[in-house]
Amino acid sequence: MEKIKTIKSVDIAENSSALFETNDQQIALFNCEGQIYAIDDMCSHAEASLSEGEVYDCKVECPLHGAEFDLKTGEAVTLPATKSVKTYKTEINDGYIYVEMDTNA
Amino acid sequence: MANVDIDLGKYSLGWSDPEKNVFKPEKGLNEEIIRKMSEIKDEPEWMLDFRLKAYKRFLDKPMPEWVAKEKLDSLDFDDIYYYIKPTEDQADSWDMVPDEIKETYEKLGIPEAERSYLAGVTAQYESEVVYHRNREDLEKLGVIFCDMDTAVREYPELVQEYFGTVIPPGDNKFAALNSAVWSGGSFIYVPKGVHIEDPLQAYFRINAENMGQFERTLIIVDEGASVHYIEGCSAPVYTTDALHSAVVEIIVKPSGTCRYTTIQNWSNDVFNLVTKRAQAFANATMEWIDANIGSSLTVKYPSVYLMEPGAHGEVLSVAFANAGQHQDTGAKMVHLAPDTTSLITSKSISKGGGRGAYRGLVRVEDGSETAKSFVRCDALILDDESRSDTYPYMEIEESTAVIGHEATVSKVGEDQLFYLMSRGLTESEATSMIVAGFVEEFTKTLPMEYAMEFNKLIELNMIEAGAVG
Amino acid sequence: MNKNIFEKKFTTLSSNDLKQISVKDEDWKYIGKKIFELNDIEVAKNKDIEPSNDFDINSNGFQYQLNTMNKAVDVVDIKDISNPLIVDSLMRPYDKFNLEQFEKVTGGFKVSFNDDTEEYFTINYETQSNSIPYVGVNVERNKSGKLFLNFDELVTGSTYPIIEILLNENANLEVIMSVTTTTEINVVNSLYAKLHKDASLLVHNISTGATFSRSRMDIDLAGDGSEFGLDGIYFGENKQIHDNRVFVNHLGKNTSSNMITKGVLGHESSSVFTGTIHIAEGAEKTESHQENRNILLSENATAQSVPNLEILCDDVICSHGSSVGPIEESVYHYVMARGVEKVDADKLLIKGFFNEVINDSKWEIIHDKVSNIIEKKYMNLIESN
Repeated sequence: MEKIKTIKSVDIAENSSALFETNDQQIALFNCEGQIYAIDDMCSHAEASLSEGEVYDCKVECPLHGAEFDLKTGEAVTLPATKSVKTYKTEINDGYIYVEMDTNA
Repeated sequence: MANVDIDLGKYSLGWSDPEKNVFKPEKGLNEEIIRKMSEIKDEPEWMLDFRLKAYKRFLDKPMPEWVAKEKLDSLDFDDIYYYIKPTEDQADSWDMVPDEIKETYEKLGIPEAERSYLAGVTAQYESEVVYHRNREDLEKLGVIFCDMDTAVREYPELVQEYFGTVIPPGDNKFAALNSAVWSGGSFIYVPKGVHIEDPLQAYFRINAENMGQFERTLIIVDEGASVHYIEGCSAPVYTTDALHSAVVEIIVKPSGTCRYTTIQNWSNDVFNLVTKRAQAFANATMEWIDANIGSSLTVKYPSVYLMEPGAHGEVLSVAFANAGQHQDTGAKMVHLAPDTTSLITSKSISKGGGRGAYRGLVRVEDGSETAKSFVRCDALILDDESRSDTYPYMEIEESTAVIGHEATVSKVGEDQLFYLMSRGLTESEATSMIVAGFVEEFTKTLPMEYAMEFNKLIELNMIEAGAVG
Repeated sequence: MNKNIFEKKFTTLSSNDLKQISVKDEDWKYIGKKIFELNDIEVAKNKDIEPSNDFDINSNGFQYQLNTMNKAVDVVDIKDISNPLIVDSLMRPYDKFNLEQFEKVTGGFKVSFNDDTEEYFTINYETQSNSIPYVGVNVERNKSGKLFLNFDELVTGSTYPIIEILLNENANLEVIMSVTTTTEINVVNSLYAKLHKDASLLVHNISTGATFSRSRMDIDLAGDGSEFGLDGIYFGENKQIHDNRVFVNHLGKNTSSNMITKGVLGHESSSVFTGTIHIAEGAEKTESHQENRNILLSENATAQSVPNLEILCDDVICSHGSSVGPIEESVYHYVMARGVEKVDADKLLIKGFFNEVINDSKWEIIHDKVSNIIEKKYMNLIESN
């Protein structure tokens, strides 16, 4: 596991999101109540991008079928999603967001 | 359920009362109307937020392109009333119900049912629940059975915990619409271990021209409890399209049982676009029993998400597609745990140029070891103008699951007809009998009076569009 | 190469005008990342072929070599054909892939059965790299033909054949389409057949090879009394995908279609069986039966079986059945209670499973070959476990 440098934390406003891509992974970054959360971008229910969903109450709503995921645990809060999405630890260093993830995925 | 006297004239259930409504906004939908609606209902903040968020989803989402495109293209959302409040306040006993409304229900036979001992009845008129009375013994058991509006006000924590968790507003365009403008519908909570013997029931109607019906039902069956809920509806005849877009969410907790029976008989100009979904937990059973007889277009796929081991889901669906009708119905079963089982039985009858379709999905996720699912769809086409389609999707990712699917399509056998006619029945009587036999599996799940009414409806259906003879 | 006959088909449209095919399209669902290889096929260069006495024709997808003289069969190079075999094939549904096939066709020929044949007329394919061969098959009125399309070990490069079959009145054709090459390539067949009055087409499909073996069949039962039959087997191992899509249009009266396909999937292989039986208005007395049975032998194997029905006529008898799952427990117990080891029980049951199809007398000429392949593939699965 490595801490990968992504984007500047100021680039994500409160209750909004950003997409961070590596060669074979896509991570969705969210700002909720000042905290940054990182989860897999792909919804666990269908092919949709969670970074395009709306955020409120530290939950993100998948734009395709409205399933809600808890940003802190990655758990599916409503159907039609039934599986949780993977979460990643984040930390802010020097104004940049670092995400802890496997780069050999 | 009372005995309904159906005189066999055309559209016997199709009449409409001169409108007597308290507050009648214009056609079309906007944020203003939603706010007003929420205010009149005296809803908590979270429900208004929910509605407004849902309204945004509704505007963003496109119309589905994969079903009944022509019919759906003709739907004009601006040409519909979204909320009407028929009386000042909810009545507590029959005496308080306004006369016109009482008459409507008398025609439907409810007073008779009131006389005989019955389960509590929630009746809906113009998207607002007018009359409601809980049976005393239900109350004693701790069962909550009221209309959804009341539930939001009186049981906020319970409602908020589950509302929108089975069908979120963003699920599809019509669920979003319902989530924004829902009104009426039933709320049922059955506490642990409680078994309700008699079925709970409700009626629905669309009355004002272009009135949409958006009832929202939420049923929570707690551990080890059981309930049977029946809804049957009718609507008057109008030339412009009416829209019925309901949402039904059901949660059946471990070892609970829930059966939800619908006999839908909207008149032939209604668009019936419904989202019905249930979650069944460990060893719970969920059964959807669904008859679609009326409407111009019905799009409805009752589903069960089998969340934990031992969960069982069943859909028994019957659809009649007559002239000008398109019934696109079926079921969805999603297996998410080992040892889950599902059974889908679909019977579809097309005649007079009608179009019946079975569209279903069985999805078995990886890890659902020894899950079993069986689908059986049979279709009867009664003449050469009609059409029957079958689209059975299967997405199986578990190698130990056992999945089967059988389908047949045929017409009424000539030998069968001949046999019955040689015993004195007319051709339409004989056809009627054969059709009744074809759907017997469904009819025998109904309480007797419903079964009788249903069989009468079949006869009516056979005779009406000049079935045969 | 001369593309006369195809230019007439698509004068206004080119494959670049259409959007990319994707797994979201109904016709391409379930095949995953394989889709990316199909959107822009780079056709390779020609390489010489050697004639072989075992086959009537050898072809590398660019040219062919006629090895034998057969009185009943006429072979004409695509260069010398000026009209498409079937005018109506201009109207069949197409997407970017299909259009691409026609635009980039590398070579081919038309085979005409002018007299009855008892022996199979065999065409053996060999390619080292991307080819798009065309075969047009015509059977004259009242004649019977047999055709064996062999995609075996000499196919070492991907190939995307177009097959057109025209059966005139009362003509019969039996086709064996066998994809058994063990090279990891794509074999994607597009087959279109039009049957006139009382004609009959019987296809025997074997799919055990390639990493992506797909056949899409569009069958128009245009003439009254025409019949279509399909029986087939597929056996998946490693990451193979065996994809069969069959679209049958019952247009005439008294037509029938009968399909039975059976597959066994091991390792991480998958199969797809979809398609539509479409019975048009007025297609009275149609009878159609379809069966697709799948046995999954390992955890990561999958099978999708979605046969659709669209029936617009009442005087029909129609049924279909499909199943997906492991070998039935009860059958196991029966066999093992008679002292057979599990490994052998599996083998026995799988053989029995396929026998329904391959023991049919019409499979005689390939029975042994197929039986051996099944045995070998089964042993591969055991060893790796």
